[in-house]
Amino acid sequence: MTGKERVERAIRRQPVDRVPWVPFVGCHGGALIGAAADEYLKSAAKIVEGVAAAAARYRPDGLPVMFDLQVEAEALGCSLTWARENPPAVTAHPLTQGTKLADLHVPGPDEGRIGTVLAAARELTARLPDIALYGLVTGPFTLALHLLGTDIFMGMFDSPDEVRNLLRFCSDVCLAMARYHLEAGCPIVAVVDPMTSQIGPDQFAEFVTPFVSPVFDAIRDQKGLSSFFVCGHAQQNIVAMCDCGPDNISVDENIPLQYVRQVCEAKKVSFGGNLQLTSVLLLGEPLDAQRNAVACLETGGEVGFILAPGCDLPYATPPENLAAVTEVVLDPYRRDVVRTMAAETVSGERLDMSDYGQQDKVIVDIITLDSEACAPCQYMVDAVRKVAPEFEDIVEWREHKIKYRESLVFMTSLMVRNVPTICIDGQITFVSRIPPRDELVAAIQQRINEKFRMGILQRQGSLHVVGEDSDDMEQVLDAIRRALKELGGDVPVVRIREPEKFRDYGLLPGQTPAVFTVKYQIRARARVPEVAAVREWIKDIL
Amino acid sequence: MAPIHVLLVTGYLGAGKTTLLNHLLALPEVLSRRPVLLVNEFGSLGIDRQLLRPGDHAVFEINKGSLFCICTKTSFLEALATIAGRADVGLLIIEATGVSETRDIEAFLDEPTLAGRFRLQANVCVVDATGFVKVAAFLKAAVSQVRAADGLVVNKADLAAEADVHQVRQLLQHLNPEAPQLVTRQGQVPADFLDRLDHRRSREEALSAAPAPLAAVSIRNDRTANREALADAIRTLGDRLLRLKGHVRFPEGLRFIEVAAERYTERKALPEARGTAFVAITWAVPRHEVQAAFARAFPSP
Repeated sequence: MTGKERVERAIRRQPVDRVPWVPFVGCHGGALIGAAADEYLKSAAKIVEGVAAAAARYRPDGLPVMFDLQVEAEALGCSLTWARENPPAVTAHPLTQGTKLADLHVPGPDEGRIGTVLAAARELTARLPDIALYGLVTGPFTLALHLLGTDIFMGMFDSPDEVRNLLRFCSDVCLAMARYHLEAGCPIVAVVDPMTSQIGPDQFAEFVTPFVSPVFDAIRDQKGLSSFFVCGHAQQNIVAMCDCGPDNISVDENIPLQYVRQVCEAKKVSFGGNLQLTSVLLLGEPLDAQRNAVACLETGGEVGFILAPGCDLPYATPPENLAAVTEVVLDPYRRDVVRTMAAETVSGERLDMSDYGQQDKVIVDIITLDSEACAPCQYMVDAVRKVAPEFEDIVEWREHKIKYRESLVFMTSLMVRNVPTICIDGQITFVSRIPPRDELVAAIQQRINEKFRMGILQRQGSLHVVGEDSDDMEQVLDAIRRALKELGGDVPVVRIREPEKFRDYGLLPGQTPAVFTVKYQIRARARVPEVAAVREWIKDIL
Repeated sequence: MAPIHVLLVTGYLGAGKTTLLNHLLALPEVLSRRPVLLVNEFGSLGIDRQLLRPGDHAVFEINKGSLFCICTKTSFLEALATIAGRADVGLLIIEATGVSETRDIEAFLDEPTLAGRFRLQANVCVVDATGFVKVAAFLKAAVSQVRAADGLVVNKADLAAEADVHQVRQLLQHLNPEAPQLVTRQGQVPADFLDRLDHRRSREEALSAAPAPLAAVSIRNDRTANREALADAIRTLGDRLLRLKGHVRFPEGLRFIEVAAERYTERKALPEARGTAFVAITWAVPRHEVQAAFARAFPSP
């Protein structure tokens, strides 16, 4: 099943092999190819390059050709102000500056930047035949707001017929734009009407439904598929949106996806959304994006749902966050991992692991979902279990199941991002890969060798010679002097002569002279060690 | 660093936010707090920076056309992060767009990335005494901004009839009984009005529509009105009929009628009028009762 087929089937509420993923790459496509938004959104060639880059990087099932709701407004005479990292903003509304509605005409396919978008659409449908390309058109209500400004709200009371005439014109523009996109090869037309979130259901029925419904009918007549995008606090209008007759609706994070699903399932309309754009995709980290994606996938279900952000992706969205979403979409195992991790929030909770791994033994940690429930985890644990006895007591291993909170904290503290993972003395060594026996043995042996070298360098010691001065004691001290001379070493010799201290060394009267070797090993220097690390050191001397 | 105090100014376009900001920027009590402004510069949803009083204060602008609240959030947070890093700021004045939800802006200030750098001192909603009733029935943000406000400034009182000001104040009292009201003209707000405001965090959800008691009901038909029955419907609704405007076909012909604050006026129909079509904005009457009241005024032929 190609991505295009997957999206089309999901929109029709037909079974799919997995939920389709449609990142709304608008000006973000410019960021992917190093072009500013004001450069990108004016060039068909750059749009093609940016969308192709997004297709390669995010492996989506569908993509918009362009996400700029000012295209029609600009062609109709609205002044725009451009920005380097945003779509342009409408700054002047022609109908408030002397232009009459009768002076406006439905723009042709070559007017303004409409030709630019359509050229990009034609090129992309040829280059990316397996991806469902969305042609975006500005919804009648939002276009009317571009043309008239916020006077439209006062006009609903003062001059409702004039507002209706304007909306009728905007509906005609929308119909034409939908036709242009379908003729350019886009299989899906999205009518994007965010400003409808500003009004209630009664006003929606009066000022939106009559003007947007014919657009969806026309798209259907032309064998295309339709989607109705509305962002903002639009929960009150979800039912009314479905009643307008789109094949699909798409919403943002302001609306609970569960509610959208309930309404859409009852109305037999497919739906999409609602990854969090700013908090997660822009400002979060890949793991945040994956958690959010998994939550959406679980809520959206497998029938008639498309995973998508709620709106145009910010220009500077980190590509790794979107690639992370792709990973959970494509890899069910990764979804399981994230789902398990999502059960615990450990943000900001980290152990200081800098002292980890300084005990005498080599510690092999296996971070798993749960080796009893997850096959790869089980194989990884088995691999370590079989090898460990070859090192007798030098190697100690343990499994950390991240379904437990402390294991999750341990995992994040070691900066482990994938499971199963093998860490040797706190160092990530094998990630999501069951190592062959020889490789695992070699890795452990290498660590033993390192520790041995490190131990020689870091260890210090002394000889404690316990007992009162006597002939026997003199002979003991002479033996020590000779041994040190032969070894060429420099070990301090501490004489303990006070009988009251003999008991501290566990000596009874008559058991002197006695010699003790005392070893010191630096475990932590100028820092407060974590309890987990201290516990390991203590085990060494118990 | 101590948190930066924030004064949030909301209100529908044309309510007088820019005038009020300029007035504030002339007050010594405000200037002494080293203010910076965060404004939406572009588009009619925001304010026009050209109209802002020049002075020794920084202005941060959000250029997104304010169409998408989520997209605005990105620009908003970027500006807030910049301001948060400055040590020379004592007061941040935020001008919200006419379609902003107050709770969204409060949430921006609470973003973990800003780590408690801002403390909302108060949010003030500016209300246009001449136009609020008309907008409130259609634009849900106009109402939710009022409901979330710590203080309400009824501006342009000099341009509205006394009865209209009274009606707006009553409506505001219903919508937000806790917020003190200040009736004024040209954004003249004394500093002590702001100082007396206590911010109470908005806990309510964003409005999904104008509150149920506030309704805009459209009546369109091809029938002829019974003048007495229509007058009776208007009388029955009384002060619950906030506004009515449009055309009505009477036996003698089409006429343009208007009701504002219980004042009825009637004049010649506009040339483009084709039949009965008017909008009634009502308060505290179920929509179906409004429809039924007017239906009786248009008997079947």
